[in-house]
This record gives sequence, structure tokens and C-alpha cells, in this order.
Amino acid sequence: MKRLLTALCFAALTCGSASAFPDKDVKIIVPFAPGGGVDVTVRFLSEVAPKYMDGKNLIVENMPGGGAVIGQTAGANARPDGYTLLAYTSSVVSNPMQKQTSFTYKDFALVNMYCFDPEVLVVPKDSPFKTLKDFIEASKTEEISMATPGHSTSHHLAAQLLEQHFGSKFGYIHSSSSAQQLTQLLGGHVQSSMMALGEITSYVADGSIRVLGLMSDANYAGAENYTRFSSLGFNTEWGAFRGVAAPSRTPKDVVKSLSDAFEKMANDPAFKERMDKAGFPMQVYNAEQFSKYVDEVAVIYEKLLKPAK
Amino acid sequence: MDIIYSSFATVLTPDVFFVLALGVLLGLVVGAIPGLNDTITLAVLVPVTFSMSPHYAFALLVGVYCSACYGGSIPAILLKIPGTASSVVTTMDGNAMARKGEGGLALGISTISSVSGGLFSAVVLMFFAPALAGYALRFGPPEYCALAVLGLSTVAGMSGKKVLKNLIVCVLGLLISTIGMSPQTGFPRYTMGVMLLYEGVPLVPMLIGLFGVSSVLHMLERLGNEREQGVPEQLPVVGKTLPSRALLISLAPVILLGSVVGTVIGIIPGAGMIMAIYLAYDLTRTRYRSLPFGTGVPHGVAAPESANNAVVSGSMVPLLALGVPGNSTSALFLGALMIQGLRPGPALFKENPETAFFIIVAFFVANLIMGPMGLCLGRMLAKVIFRISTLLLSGCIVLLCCTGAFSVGLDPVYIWVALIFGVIGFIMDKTGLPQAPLVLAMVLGPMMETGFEQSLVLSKGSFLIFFQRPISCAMLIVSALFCLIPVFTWLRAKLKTA
Repeated sequence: MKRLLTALCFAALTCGSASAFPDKDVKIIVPFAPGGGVDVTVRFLSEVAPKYMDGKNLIVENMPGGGAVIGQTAGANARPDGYTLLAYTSSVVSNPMQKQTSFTYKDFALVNMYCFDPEVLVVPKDSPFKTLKDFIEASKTEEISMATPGHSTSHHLAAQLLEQHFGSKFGYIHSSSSAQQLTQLLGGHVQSSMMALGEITSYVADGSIRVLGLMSDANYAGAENYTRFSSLGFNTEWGAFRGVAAPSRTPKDVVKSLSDAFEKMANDPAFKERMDKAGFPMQVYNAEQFSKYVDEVAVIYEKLLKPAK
Repeated sequence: MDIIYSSFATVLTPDVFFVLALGVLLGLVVGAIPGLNDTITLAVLVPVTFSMSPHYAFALLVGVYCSACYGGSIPAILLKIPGTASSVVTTMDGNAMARKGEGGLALGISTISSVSGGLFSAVVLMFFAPALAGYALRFGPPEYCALAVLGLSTVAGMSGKKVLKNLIVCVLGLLISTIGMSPQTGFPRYTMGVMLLYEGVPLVPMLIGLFGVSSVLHMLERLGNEREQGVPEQLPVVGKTLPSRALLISLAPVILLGSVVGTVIGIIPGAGMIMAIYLAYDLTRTRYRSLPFGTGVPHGVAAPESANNAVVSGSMVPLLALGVPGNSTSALFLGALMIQGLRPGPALFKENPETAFFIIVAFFVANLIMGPMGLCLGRMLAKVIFRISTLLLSGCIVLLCCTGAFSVGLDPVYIWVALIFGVIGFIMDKTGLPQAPLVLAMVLGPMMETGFEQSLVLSKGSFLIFFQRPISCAMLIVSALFCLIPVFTWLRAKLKTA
């Protein structure tokens, strides 16, 4: 009898907590140092979070180091109760393919994507290339120098995709940060560069660089006139995605309520205004859309990164 | 001009001024603690600024950034442990002065030089930022490679009689710097599957080990000797702080030189503080060849200290004018700007001139506050450090070293890095190998490698690219001269005797 009662109590407790998720603050691990794009956008989310999480807070914890592996490992090994989340970016997909990690991108239940920064091909202002077509045609016959913010970054892979698709040839200049990459481009030391839309808006407005092509067909504010890569038959949606994920064994209903909450946060006007002011392009995917997209992208990563290993 | 006046008015309002002073004090303290530095502190503070008004936020950050590298000189002088990487060079002459009983004077010179260097570059930032930012952009791969060569060539000039030992250490540093992922091919080198090494040997724990941990080993050795012989070592006195007028006048050109070098190097994104302090020190050495550098020469304190504070405001030039941070610390300002809803980039000066000039003026004022505050803290620390027992002091240092190393990457492995380099540093001291070239080579190795490989990609394999570009060619010629100076002096000496 006693045992039955305990079991009943326990069932009642677990039931109660499941229906009232969250009943305490939720922690989100940002595997990068504070002040970067991922950190700042997650903090924007945390600002509006209490409104959609029964007044509970979204607490940001930075765990930089090891090329984000330290924080990502902590996220994968966290207790799967939905109270510890991970800021999920493309490096969760690429790190396990390049380094010895204890997790793969499949060890996470995806919750929501709130930001998609599409890939753009940019050239210095006085570049001889005027259109995307010019550039691609030229790159088939001569080697064009191409700046990236690092070897095996998503920007490097984007350029490799072009090489595969069009037979282009690029001489890579790998910098160690996007700041250095930008200096190379602004100074006219390289002929072209793969970057994220959000990084370049103010330089395009200022006239110091030009956008030749955008690797996405979606609509972004200020990007209406950019040539899409799909016009040349290159249909991959490529860019830096910023999302949220929980450990894979998190109960389905918890993931669902998190997903709903984050979708509402991402559509909050205050959040949208913050993102817009800081120049981050928005795109919101729910759990299924995000998982489908990551699965597609992971196949491409696998193809490009595996031989390099 | 109006905007500068109104920015001064904003900075000098009591509440903003108080926050700025608080930032300066915080910067001094974290700078003085080995292991904590400006980057770590700003990383902690940037998220905190989320809920602050822009004025408070930037006043706090500017205060910390400005004074941390000066705070680093306090333990460098008193204990021969650089509080931050930027005071590595100050240990050489600064600590030698303290051992002679001129610790107070060394602190005073360091303060005057730091404040002058900071003010110099703040003025440059105030009036010439947009123009100079364009100059920073002229640095492409060949220029970075040549700059690294120039930095390394100062080792040859630094050596004096110990050329061979210096070169051995320099090569060792270059070899260590090759550990990690190759920047151009992504291939892991000498990582032995250790996660930490993929990113290369981390610099800050290494410095903590080389200087902090090794100094504790020295203290313990001294303690052992005292116990055997029963004669406690004579404790140095702090002495007077302010330099005489004659000394100050003779130091003025050195401080000016350091300020110029620091500002110029600071503006070049990625060139960094370490480069600036070595260049300033070496140029001073070349100018005052008769002085016995390394034995407690005031010039050896003034040069690096004016240079490192000049780098601070210098590194804000490309950040404010172009949105390109000059180093990892000023990169954190990018995040702070974004948090305040400002988009960093070339439009900042046009769209938000109030914020841009507020930051610049805050740098100017922070340098002024830093002087008196730093002197008080320095003298206070000096009295405490010289009074407490060596045993207690070494215990405190070990504790600070371990927590400092851990805080760099929040991983216990970093403590091991510090301990290993502590033993290496101790062995180097015992065998008369200097640590300075090791640090320089570790910092410049990756810059040289990346610049070299990138240049060859650009030139499609031709080495001529290094000589066709004027800046790179000029720097290579200057480095060749640096390397030849010892040869010339040797030749001249030979001819005289013959």
C-alpha cells in the first residue's frame, strides 16, 4: 500500500511538473565568449523570455573554448529535462566531423531556429566583376583569391560548394577571424570573400564593398536587389544558422513546449527590433523545419569535410 | 569640435565620471593580479552592460581596458611577474630597479609613461581616427609577414653577448607556435589528440607559468637556502616615487618614441601589444646603446609602458572608424556596441557620432584618472608585498596563478599548461636562457606563417610579392638592418682594437 502511494505521489509529481514546464529558470549554454553574434542574439532572446516561460528566466551561460567543443559537449551531456539548452550553430555539425568529440549533431533535439544569416559573395568596390555571372565565368578560367574567416568554416565550405558546382578555382586566404577577413577585403588585398549578410550591411551602405550574390531565396530586409545564386542553378540554401537545442533524450512534450515558447519569443516585436537594429537577419523555423534543414546541411558538410579528415 | 566639448561635458557629469573611475580601479586591480587581464574582465562585463545606459556601459568598459595594462606593470616591477601580457618587457628593467631599492621610482616612471602614452594615442584617436583607419587597411598578407619578421629581428638586437641563447629560445618559441591546427590547410600538427592543443598552446596560461609559477620556485629555493644558512635576505625598500626633473627630461624622448610606436602598432589590426612593447624597448636600446639595459635602467621601463598604453587607444581607431577590432579585447567592444543597439561599421562616426566621441573622450579622461589612482595602489601593494613573509607571498601567487590559468578556458588542463611552463621557466632561468624571445616568437610565429602562406597564394607562388609592395619591402629592409647592427658593432670594435 505504502509503495503504491509513493508511486502515485511520484506519478502526480512528474505529471505536474511536465504540464507546468518550466517550473524553474532555464539555462542556455553559449559555447562562445560573450560579445559575439551567438551570445548577443541569445541575450536578446533572454530579455523577452520571461513573457513566454511563465515568468521564468532564460539564463545565458558562456562556455567558450576548444573551438566551441567544450560548451557543446556540456550541452550534449546535460540532464535531458529541458532545463539546460545549447545555442546550436553550424559548428555543432562540423566539429564532430573534424575533431574527436563525444557527440555528433544528432545527439540533440532541436527546438527552434531564430536567426538565419545567409551567405553572400562580396567583392571590393573597385572590383572588375560587376555581376555574379561575370564572377563565376571568370573563376572557371583563372584562380580568384577568396578570403574566409578560417579553414573549414561554413564560409570556406560555401566557396568549396561553388568550386564543385561550377568548377570554379579559388586561392584561399584563411584569416583567423571575420574581422581580419573584412580588413583583407576592405583593403583590396583579396578579390572576393564569402561572408554573412548581417556582417556586411553597413559596408555595402557605405559603398566600400559590393554584393554579387546571395545563397538563399528567402526575403531579407535590404537584400531585395541582390542576385540569388539560384538564378545560375545553384539551389542550396547556405548561411549561418543560430538556433536552440536540448539533449536528444529530452521528453517530447518538453521539447514541444520549449519549441512553442521560443517561436513566440522570436516573433516578439521587442526581440525583432533588437535584431534589426544590430543587423541580424531573421528567419524562424520550428522544431521540425529546423531538424529537416540541419539534416540536409549535415549531408553536405559530411561530403565536404570527410575527405579532409 | 563642438561634439568633443559636449562629450567632455557628458563624461565629466558626476555619475558617468564615477562609473569611469570605478572601471579604472577595477582595471588596475585585475591588471595587477597575474592571470586576470582586460580580455577576461571585459568578457565578464560585456553581458552586464546589457541593462545599463550606453554612457555607463562604455565608461565602465573603457575604464577597465585603459588601466588594465598599466596595472600589469605593478607586479612586473615588484615581483617580476607581469600582471598582463603587456608588461612582459617591463619585468626586465622594472624588477631590476625594485631590487636596487628603486621600486617606487620604477612605479612612478611606469605611471608617468603609461599616462603619457595613453593621452598621446587618445588625442590621435580624437582627431585622426578616420584618416588613420585607411592606413590600417593597407596591411595585407605580405605586410603582416614583414611586420612579424621585423618583430622577430628585434631579438637579434636585444641579445648583446647572448646572441646564441636568444636565437635558440626564439626558434624554440617558433616551434611551439606551430602546435595546433595549420591556419591555411586545417591540418592538426603536434596535437597528439589533445583537444586543448588544436587551438595551439594558450598564451596566457603559458605566461602565468613562465613568470608566475617559476618565480614561486625561485622563492622556495631562496627560502631553502635561508633556512640552511640562517641569513634572511635583505628586503628591498620602496624608495621615493616621483622622478627628478632631470631624469624626467631625459626620459621624455623615450616616452614619445614609445607612444608613437604603440599608437602605430595599435592601429594595425592584429599586430598587438606584445609587438609594440618589444619594438619600443628595442628602438630605445638602439638609441641609448651606452646604457646597461636589463640592470634597472629607467628608460627600459618608460619605453614599454608608454607603448602598451598607446596601443589601447590605438586599437580603437580601426574599431570605431571601420568596425574592425584591433585585438581580442577591443573586439569585445563590438559586442557591447551591438548590445546597445548600435551597428559597428564605417557609418558609426556618421550615424552615432555622440557615442563614438563619448568613447574617445572617455579614453582621454580615464588616462588622467589612472595616474594618481595607480600610484596609490602601487605604493600600497609595494608596502604589503615587501612586508609579508616569502612563504605566504608564494602561496598567494600559486593560488592566483592556478585560478588565473583556469579562468582562461574554464578547464583544469590550463593549470597544467601553467605548471609545465613554470618548470620550463625555472630551468630557463637556471641555464641563463631569456624568456622574452620565447614569448615574442610564440606571438609572432602564427602571424608570420599565415602572412607568408597567404602572400604566396596571392602571388601564385612568387616571392617577389614581399619586395614589390612598398610597406612590406621597407619593413624587411629595416629588419635586415636590425640583424646587422650586432655585426656592425662587432666590426667597429674589431677595427678599433686592430
